[in-house]
Amino acid sequence: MVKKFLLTFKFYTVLLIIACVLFASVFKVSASSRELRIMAGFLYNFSKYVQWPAEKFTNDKSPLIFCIISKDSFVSIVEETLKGKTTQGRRLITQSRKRTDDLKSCHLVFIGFREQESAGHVWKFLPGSGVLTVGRWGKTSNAKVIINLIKDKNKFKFAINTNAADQANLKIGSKLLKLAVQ
Amino acid sequence: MEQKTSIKEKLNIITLWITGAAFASAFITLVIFNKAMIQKELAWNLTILSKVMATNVDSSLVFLDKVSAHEILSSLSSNPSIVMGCLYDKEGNAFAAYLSKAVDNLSCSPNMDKSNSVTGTSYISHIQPVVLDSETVGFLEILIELKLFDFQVQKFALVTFIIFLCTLLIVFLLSKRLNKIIIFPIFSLLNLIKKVSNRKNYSLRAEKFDNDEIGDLIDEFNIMLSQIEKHEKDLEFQIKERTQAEEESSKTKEKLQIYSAELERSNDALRDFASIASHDLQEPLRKISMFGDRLNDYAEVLDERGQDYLKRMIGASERMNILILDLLEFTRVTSAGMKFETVDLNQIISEVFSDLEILIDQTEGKVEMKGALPILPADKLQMRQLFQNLIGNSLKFHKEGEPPLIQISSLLTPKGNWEIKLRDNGIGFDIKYLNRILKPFQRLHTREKFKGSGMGLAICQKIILRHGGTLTAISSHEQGSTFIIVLPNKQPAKEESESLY
Repeated sequence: MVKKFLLTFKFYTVLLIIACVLFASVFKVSASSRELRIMAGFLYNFSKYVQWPAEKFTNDKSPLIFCIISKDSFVSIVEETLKGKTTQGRRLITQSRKRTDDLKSCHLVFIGFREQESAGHVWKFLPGSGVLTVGRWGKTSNAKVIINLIKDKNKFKFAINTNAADQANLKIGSKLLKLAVQ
Repeated sequence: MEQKTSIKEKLNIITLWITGAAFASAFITLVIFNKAMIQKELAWNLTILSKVMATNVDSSLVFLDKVSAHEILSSLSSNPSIVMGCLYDKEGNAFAAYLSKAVDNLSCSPNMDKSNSVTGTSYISHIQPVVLDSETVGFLEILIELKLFDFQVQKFALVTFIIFLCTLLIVFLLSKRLNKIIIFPIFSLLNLIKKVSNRKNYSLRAEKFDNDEIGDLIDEFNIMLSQIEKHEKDLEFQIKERTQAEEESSKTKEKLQIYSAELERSNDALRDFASIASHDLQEPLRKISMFGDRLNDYAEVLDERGQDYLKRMIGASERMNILILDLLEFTRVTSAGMKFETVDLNQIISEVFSDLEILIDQTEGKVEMKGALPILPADKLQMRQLFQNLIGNSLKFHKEGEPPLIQISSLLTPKGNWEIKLRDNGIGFDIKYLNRILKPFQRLHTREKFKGSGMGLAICQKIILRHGGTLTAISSHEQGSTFIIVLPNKQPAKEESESLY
């Protein structure tokens, strides 16, 4: 009898734990989704303050291509954010890429948090190519991107590697530089 | 009693009112215009500020950097009239705010329905969309307190008011001085008019100051004064003249009355004398005549010389009797005249003819009537006597050996008098003796040649004069005579003019 009671108790305890875990995971997912939206917005807004070299576009109407090397969900979020929007009169196109792909046709390349190891590869090919690289490194000092997104006390900030921007032949707007973390 | 306001005061009041009204309207216009201008400028500045601000805050807004947004917004504190600056995201949620320390009851309220500029009682708000690459990413609202602006307007109004008050004072003082230009001549004219009316001295003249309307007025007034002066003098002269004339005329009248009375008296006396004398003279004359006749019975006793004396005495007494009778007749023309009545002269003439029938037959005379004689107011008996005398004369003074011819005619003169002409072919007379023969006892011939007392024509003259007419004659020696009688067709209302003749 007691044994049965204990079994039953264990069962409910397990159930409760599972529920808690599930609840927690759900909560975590929703929170990160908000962050992803903010990040997508940042990507879009960065494009407003950056001036690409003219040779990166075939004509005035040619689109601005956002290449995302990240989880599928972020690609779709970015796609959703950029939908129907323009920057400097150009359509915005979101493309999901792999780190091994040729990224020289991209205007903006986002390297996800988990793809950091591949950043070195990307880094190697991109100087002078007019590609704005955006990533999420914990520390800015060794970041292998031009704009590094930093999360500080639940707030996103960013740091700009102006040398890298110069190498990439990109002009970063003063307002953006002003907001950037040193 | 009505308060008397002088022209001077009126002019001052008018000037003040006009200037005051002009200044008031200018003041109100200026203040309103100034307020509108300041308000417009304020709104304009606010718009510019908002636009500049909006372009600065776009990056802070899109990268959710509240710190930098605050920094930018806090620069609004440099303008003390800006009390609030709010930055909203594109959903209208407040993102960052600047609030002036002076104001604590304000807060950024997400109300995107506000129009671009809202002017409240004490605030102006301007909402500026924050546009990034032609996309509205948020809104910036700046709120300005109007306290400073109101103060500015008040300051302007006060300064303008003080300036206008000073100007008004200057205008008042100036107008007081300038009004003298108009008022002084009027006052001097008024003083002169008072002097003239008080002293009745029209020789005074107003002084002319300028060639304006008042100058004209003064000129006209002076002309009027001269005219009055002239009239006054004329009038005085006329009055003097008239007074003199009246005095003279009254003197003359008195004299005339005295003369008239004297004349009447002497006339009466004369008449009385003539009548009495005639009567009294007749009495001894009758005795002379009577005793002459009785003495005639003793004619044989007298010698031839005595008889001649007696004869001559009787003849003289007879003549004397005729003279006296004629004199009586003459005086009776006025003293015993009858009232005037309507007399038909044709009838009178025919009566005279029958009276003189014997004489006409004796002289084989002829009387021609050339047309009818008038009917007029007259004394019937005297008319008869008049024509009897005249026709008798014509028969008496006929030429020897030539029967008398008498023509009688009449006509109405333009003056309304009857002119009756008696023309004969007699001996006539020298016209220079006309006046003489019209007087009593005057004769041109010896009584031996023509009998008579010499009273006939005098009586005629007197009768005609009594009737208001005239008697004249045209004649020359041996050429016959024409006697012209003029008698009025109408007698004056006073039936019998009191003749002095």
